[in-house]
Amino acid sequence: MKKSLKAALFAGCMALIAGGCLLFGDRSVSWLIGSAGIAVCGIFFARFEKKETTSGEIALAAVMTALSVTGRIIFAPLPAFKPCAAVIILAGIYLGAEQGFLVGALTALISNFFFTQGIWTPFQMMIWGLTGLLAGLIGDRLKKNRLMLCIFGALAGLCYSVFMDVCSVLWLGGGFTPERFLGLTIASAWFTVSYMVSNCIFLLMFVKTAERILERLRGKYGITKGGG
Amino acid sequence: MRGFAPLSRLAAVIGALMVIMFSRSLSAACAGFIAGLICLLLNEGGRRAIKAGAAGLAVCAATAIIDPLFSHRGMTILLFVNDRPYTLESMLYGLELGLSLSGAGVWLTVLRGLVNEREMLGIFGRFSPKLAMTISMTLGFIPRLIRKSRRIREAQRGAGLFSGDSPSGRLEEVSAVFTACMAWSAEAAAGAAQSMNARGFGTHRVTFSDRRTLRLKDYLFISIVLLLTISGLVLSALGGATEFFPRVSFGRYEMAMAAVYMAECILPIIILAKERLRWTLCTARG
Amino acid sequence: MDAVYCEGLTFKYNDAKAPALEGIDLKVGRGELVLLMGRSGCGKTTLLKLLKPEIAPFGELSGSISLLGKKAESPQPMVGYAAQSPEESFVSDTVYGEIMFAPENAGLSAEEVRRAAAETITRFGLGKFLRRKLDELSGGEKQLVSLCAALVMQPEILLLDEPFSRLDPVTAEDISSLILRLNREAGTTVIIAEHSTELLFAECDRVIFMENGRITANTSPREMCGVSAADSFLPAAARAFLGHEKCPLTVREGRRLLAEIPHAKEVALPEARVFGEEALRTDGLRFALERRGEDILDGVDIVLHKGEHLALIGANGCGKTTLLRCLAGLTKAYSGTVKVFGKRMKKPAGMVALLPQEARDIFIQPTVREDYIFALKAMEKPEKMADEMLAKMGCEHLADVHPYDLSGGETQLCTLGRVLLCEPDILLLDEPTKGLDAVSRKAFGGLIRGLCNEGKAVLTVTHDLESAAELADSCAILCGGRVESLMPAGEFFARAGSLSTAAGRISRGEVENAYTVERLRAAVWGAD
Repeated sequence: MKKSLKAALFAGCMALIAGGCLLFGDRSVSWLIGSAGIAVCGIFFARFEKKETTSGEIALAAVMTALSVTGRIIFAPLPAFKPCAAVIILAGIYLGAEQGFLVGALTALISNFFFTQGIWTPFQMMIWGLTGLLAGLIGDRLKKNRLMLCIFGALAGLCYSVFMDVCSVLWLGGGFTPERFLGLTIASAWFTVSYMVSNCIFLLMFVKTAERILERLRGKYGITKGGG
Repeated sequence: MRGFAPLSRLAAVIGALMVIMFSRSLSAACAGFIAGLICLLLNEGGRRAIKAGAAGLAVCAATAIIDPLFSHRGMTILLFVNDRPYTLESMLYGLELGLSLSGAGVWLTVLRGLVNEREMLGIFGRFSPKLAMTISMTLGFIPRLIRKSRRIREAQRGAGLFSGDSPSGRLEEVSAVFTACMAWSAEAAAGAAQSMNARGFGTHRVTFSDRRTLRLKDYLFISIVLLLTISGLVLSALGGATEFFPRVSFGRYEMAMAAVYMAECILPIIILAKERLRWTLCTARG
Repeated sequence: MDAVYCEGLTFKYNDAKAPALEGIDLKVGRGELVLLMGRSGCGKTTLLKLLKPEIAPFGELSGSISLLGKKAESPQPMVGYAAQSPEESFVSDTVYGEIMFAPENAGLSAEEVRRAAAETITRFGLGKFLRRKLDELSGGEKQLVSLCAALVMQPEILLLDEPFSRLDPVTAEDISSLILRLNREAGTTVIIAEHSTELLFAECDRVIFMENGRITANTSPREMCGVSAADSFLPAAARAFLGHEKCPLTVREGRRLLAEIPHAKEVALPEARVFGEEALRTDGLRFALERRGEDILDGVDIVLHKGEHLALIGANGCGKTTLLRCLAGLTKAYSGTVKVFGKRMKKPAGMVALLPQEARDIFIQPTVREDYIFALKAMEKPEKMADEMLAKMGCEHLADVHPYDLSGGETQLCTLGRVLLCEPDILLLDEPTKGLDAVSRKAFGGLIRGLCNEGKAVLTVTHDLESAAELADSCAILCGGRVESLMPAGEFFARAGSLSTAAGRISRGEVENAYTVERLRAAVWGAD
């Protein structure tokens, strides 16, 4: 009964998304992206709701989110030079993939309370969430190798910037044309580079601190990654 | 609209947003934009409305001017730029785009005025109490962290560090402060976790209780909004969208859709206007 | 049936060498009000946490604990716990959310949750700041909210970890009377761990004194006066008449006793110290947050000399911290001048240093030594100064400890050392004795005296009258943004009325100038 209900729900959602794609003509891609963002976040949030979580995990996720939002506020005078992505990646590495997603998605949602909530919010939630998720999945390798960490940070910055450009192009115009995309990418190249560089700098700067802090938490309060 | 539950208010705005974003119709976008401004005017006063309106019009003008530079479809050629046609149709297309973009912006501003963070959490909490709890915890941490960072910075300066003003010194200072914030937040997380345990977290499922019960009028309101939104979108898909190329022509059902959409937008306007009126009269009386 | 019964309780933290608690036998009857005293770090907090199984620390535990007649097991909703600092135990963003947390996690329906919250809110008068952000509350309001959050589920036993030590005297009195009311009217068993004992000491049913993880005395408050190890933790009245057969516990009893026994009528005022040159002078300092805003500093005039320790006494919100920020150059007054050694100060250039109120804010690195070295590097000073400074503060054994693991007194010493690394001539202290136990307060006072003798000028702002009376050379009141009655400390306290120390209140009209416990003792027991 329950399984069939779930299947029906899933099918319904898919149908809704597909229907939207068919119906909305040249805005179907935007519809697709928006609903994908909402769906991905929804799935993860539902999992989070169902899972047994310890108080330590919740508190750490909350505090990491607060930290990255605060970072975005503290560094507000410097455009595109933000520690958010770095904090999200560190959260993914040290707290686990799902926590990483949670921190990423909530960072986007909550920091937009303080800046402006826009139609890009679900999309941003998805991208940052996936950044945290991915960092968590390959976390063990990133922990060992600083170069890998740097590359991952740079890639995360690049992807964030490019995907946001794609998003803007899709909203801004009758469909996706390469020349528009190129124009916008070039226009925002400075931002892209700045995202990449700032991610690397912040990751290198904070990775050791984060490691020691988390170790301390484990030793003193018994708060550990995943389940424990 | 405080008489309605937050969920109804959210539904009203989301409905309006959906149609304005996905209808691809000049008339609907225009109606939605104006209706959003009226809501803003009624709810937050003229200044905010004028500001939002001016910003929206600027966006419209920009998209209307820029779009023809990239897109050269359309029959009515106004002039040539770099030997490429600059068409009226593309311009109108850009205008529609700008209207729908800035209309969405206006409605999001309206949303901020209608539903505050706490009420938003109440809505979330209905579906996911644990998530709502996490978010409210985060919202509690943020001002503390901001204050902490300021205090840490002053403590360092008071102890003679970072007195220089060079950019590299600044960066060093900011990152040192942020590092200290990280250390503090870990302690804060540990403290919060203990406090959660001390108050029985994990022994039962979380009940989220800070929510408004839906009354009959909320159910009615939400169903009307849902119905109008769906019919608006369906009409738009069946042929309510404006055809821009090769020549601008209104869609088959465009007028019907615009009417449906206007009805949807007028609903919150009526409620807001009624409340506004009542406030004015009440304060005048006593 | 006892509320709490512990037998042979021994506890060792995982990574510690010595046990934190050893052979604790404790019996607390229902409805008792029990005070748990001792130096910070003596195991008070550990013991309290063990009585609340949900937050029991990790480590090796032997012996038995039973609560309300049953073996202690998690969950234990009948035990309420309010942590040391309310700030760190908040789990929500608004007062309402904080109050509702416990019932929301108790498996109740939404209606029941709201009812429980509404009852607590109505009973304890939280209605007026129900929807406020926790961040905007004052210290006392935060403490109240944290207490109420522990009380929503109506616990039988309430455990309070240092509920007063971080509050100013006025708020501390409010909270203490609330706790007393709870105990007397609702019959709640209350166990308070606290080292400042002026409040509630006489009202307690029992006082337990702990030393190094052991209970060394477990008696009525009156008999505690006979326990010599607990001397410095007793209220001022008891300390003044210690050794007398009828030892008083309150100021009232002290006054009554003083009227009956023979004593000197006057103690000589301390000789006025001679100071060096003028170190700091402010002239008509005025500060407001915005142009049309209210003045927080309303024309402050201070003179501070080399080697002088000036204490400014003020309640919360009188502009204490703002004044220090102006003097340290962290913010600018809109009118008036600050002169350091006769020169106008432009930037905080290492001449003036500030010890922040939250001493932990100063640490950036994960151990004390690393942090000292980090600071020295940032100031381009030789690294070897770190170990010298640690030795000077007597903190060598703390060099590799995490700053957040230091006790209150240790934190204060390490922070002072860190501030002194910039070799300032003028030292500003913001509430330096807040939350310190009697022994640490004495140690800290000794260090400050040493610094004054070295020729440093020290300015303290505080609401702690007792330590101002013991330590300062000069005193003044900071009130409404103005400095009133700046004069030598002896004269200041000899003339004090409402703002008088406990010893001063006992001796008023009987002994002149007996404003500290030592002076009162000298008058009562002769000059010994």
